[in-house]
Amino acid sequence: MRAHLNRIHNNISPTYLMGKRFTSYMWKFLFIIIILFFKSVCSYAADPDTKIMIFFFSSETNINNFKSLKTEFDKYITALGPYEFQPFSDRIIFEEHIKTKKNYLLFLSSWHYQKIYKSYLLSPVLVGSKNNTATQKRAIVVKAGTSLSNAIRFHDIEPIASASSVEHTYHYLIDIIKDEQSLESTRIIAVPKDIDALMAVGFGMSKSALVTAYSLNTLKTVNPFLFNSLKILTEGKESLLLIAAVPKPFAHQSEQAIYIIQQMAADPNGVKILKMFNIEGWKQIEATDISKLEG
Amino acid sequence: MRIVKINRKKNLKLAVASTTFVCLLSLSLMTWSNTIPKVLVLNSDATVDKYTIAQDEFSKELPCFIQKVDLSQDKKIKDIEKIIENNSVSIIYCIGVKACMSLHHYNRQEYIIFSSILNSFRLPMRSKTYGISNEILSGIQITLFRYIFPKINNIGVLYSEKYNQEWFDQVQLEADRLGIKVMGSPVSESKKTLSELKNLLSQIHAFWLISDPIITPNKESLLKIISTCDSVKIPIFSYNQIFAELGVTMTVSVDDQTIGRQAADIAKQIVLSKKIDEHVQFPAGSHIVLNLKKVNAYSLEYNKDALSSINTIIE
Repeated sequence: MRAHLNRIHNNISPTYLMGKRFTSYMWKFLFIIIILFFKSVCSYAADPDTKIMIFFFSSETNINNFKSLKTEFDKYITALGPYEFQPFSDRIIFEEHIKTKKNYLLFLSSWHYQKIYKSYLLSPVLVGSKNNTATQKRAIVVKAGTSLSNAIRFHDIEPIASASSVEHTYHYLIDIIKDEQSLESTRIIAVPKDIDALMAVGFGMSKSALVTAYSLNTLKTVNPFLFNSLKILTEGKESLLLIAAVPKPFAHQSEQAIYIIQQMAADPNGVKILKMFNIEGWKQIEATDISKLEG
Repeated sequence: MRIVKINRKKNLKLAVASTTFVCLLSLSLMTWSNTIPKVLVLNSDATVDKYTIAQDEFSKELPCFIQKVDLSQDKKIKDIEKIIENNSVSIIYCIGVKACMSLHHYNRQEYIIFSSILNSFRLPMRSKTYGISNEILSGIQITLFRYIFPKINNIGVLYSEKYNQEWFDQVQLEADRLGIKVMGSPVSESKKTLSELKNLLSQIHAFWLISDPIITPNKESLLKIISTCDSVKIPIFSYNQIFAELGVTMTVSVDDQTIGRQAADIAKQIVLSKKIDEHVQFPAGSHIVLNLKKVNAYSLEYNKDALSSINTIIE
């Protein structure tokens, strides 16, 4: 058997062997080309810099619904182009993260926008809308029987339940009640959502709540008895709802993305996601809105 | 010679000044370290998410020296005693029943704050014990059911008189205020649960599954209740978020982050020597899970405006 194999080997001509080697090199070369091609395609798809990222952080809610929000938003947006949604639960991490990015859209509160637009060279493009309005008002709510002197002090109404971040809550409070001295030591209990803050007052876990006028109306429908047991102590100024913003250098390239975001209200799945952000649609930002934001 | 004397004097002055500075610095550091309240966090089991969430939030809110002990890591009570004594701990935050009970037999002088314990009202209380219960008030639960499902007006409950009669009376009062009819069937023995449930199902729009050892003594009984309700497309509202994965339509449970914040708020009041109104507070935050698979399968109408208040949507 071995002798037979040797005979065959000796009979193979050098040209045949060269041809065989050449074909083998060609196959290897082709294989490498295919691998490189797939690698480049994959890296293009996976590279976050080629994608347009939509970053979200809200100082107006403490609810942890990010898993569902990301799943729903990504399911919707990835079908429309190279987009990805990334929510954040921490303001510092959110700001650190966007520092290193270029092509992105931001969803953030109007208060937060005012804080960072200069340092991040941001430009507002859309503002959220609800009940045909783009603004909301916040109020301090207490138990109906609460009697307070004319000069309200924070310590008289603490702990204050609020669904906004503590920093944002301080901003609202100082805007509504001019008691800056005792603000720092005022007890604030951050709760996930406005309805929790209202029920915390109604059921005695907190003396007051900082909530939107909209959520008070919701409580009126859901639990009129509880609503009647509360009263508005004082109200704040109107502020804009959720803002969609882009970095100025990216403004021209972001038009398609902004169009897609704006069109969400025309799609039932888009509406569902918008409601998870506590808005019903988007409206184009106007000069008056910009002056409110950047005044 | 004179120059040497001057230099000596200078050196002496310098030495005195530097010694005084070091003494003052260490004295102020000692005073500072004594005034900063020392807090010990006893976590029953750091592998349990809800305990760790409460612990992290507590630590974030409280600018104190905090030492953390995980009781699942074979820590003995003697080790804990040592930590308390060596660090002059003044506040102990006990997360979970194991943590709380580990200190029960010791007549300690430290303040104790507890959370994440079922039936916490059965815990032994001392004058320096404070806490947050793990039960969401029935009024809050029923308000949230109405918020998500505004058209559901008839809710059925199975309960044992031994454990939940008082709770049921309170629920009826709260439900009346919302215009909801809560139909309750008392169950005396676990084996009668399914027959009572079947009687109830024809009269209700939703079934409220509560924590009751007679109604759900084990997982098997829980699964039987879920499949019985599912067979007639009656949604179940319940208290444990894990149940949503098993087929429950909506759960309302405590928000563990808020629990940690409330515990930190109690600790802050202790530090500031403020008067604390209640020894045991109710949780101020809720966590909602909505099983949209079941909502769609049962053709239920739900309030889409409430979607921003839902933590987890199962689809």
